[in-house]
Amino acid sequence: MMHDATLTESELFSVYWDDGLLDLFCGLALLTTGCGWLIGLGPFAAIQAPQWMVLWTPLRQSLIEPRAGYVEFSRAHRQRTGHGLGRALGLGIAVFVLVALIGVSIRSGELRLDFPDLVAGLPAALIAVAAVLAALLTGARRFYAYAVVLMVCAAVTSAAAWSPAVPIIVAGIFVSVSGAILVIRFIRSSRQFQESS
Amino acid sequence: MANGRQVPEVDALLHEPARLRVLGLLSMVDRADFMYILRTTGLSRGNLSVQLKKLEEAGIISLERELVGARPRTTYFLTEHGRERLREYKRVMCSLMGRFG
Repeated sequence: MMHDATLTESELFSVYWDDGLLDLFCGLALLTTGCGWLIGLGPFAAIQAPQWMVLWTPLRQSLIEPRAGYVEFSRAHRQRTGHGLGRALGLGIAVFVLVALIGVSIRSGELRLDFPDLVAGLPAALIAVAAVLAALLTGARRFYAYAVVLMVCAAVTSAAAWSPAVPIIVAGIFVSVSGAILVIRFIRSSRQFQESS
Repeated sequence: MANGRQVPEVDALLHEPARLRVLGLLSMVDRADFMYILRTTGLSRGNLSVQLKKLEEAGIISLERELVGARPRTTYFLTEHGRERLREYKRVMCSLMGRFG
């Protein structure tokens, strides 16, 4: 994670996420959501997802900061990110409530759709939108790749009429493995940096 | 006949590559600790320590110590005086560069 001193603040901000911890936690959140969905919790399995974000701060402080260092970005930058995050969170909650309501209506028989197979891929497609938002907020371009993986999984699930949990689990595994690789690579490169500096 | 006053004087303390790297970084963020500056600028530990000390003694940067859990954290940030010196340095350099045509 050695940088060029001519990087702009936005570039520094995107490099800030290169350690992979965010990816690992997002992946684990997807994985547990998918597994929860599979055992019958449905979209409500997503309720446990924020706990991973709560764990992120202490783990970053103990695992990443001693190696990468600590930085506070400018107030303007933090405000921009905070506003973006607030909007994304609001959108996410609204979408979650909508999907949950549709799910409950379908189960109770109040709502009948002519295209039930398409609905199976909808949750993964919505998470893909969240991944695009994460890419825009952090500047970490690999989140676009995660969005593509989620969209492909959503399309396959719709075509094969699988459970909506399947694409979430598959994408969760993909993002978790990617995050774990990044974290391991970061720790290795940090060790080399400590030895050479 | 030109005299010395016609050529703007460059701030010698800031006009040094290693110090400019540190200041360039600190001008973009609110504050950063030693390790972050070390990794971002690519300077050696010894060199960075020396440059930070010089900048701190000149009042261009300042440091703040705090405890995060059981671990001490020392962060560096540009002072208002430092920002003013950087602005002046930029103005002088732009003026000089303008003369090169």
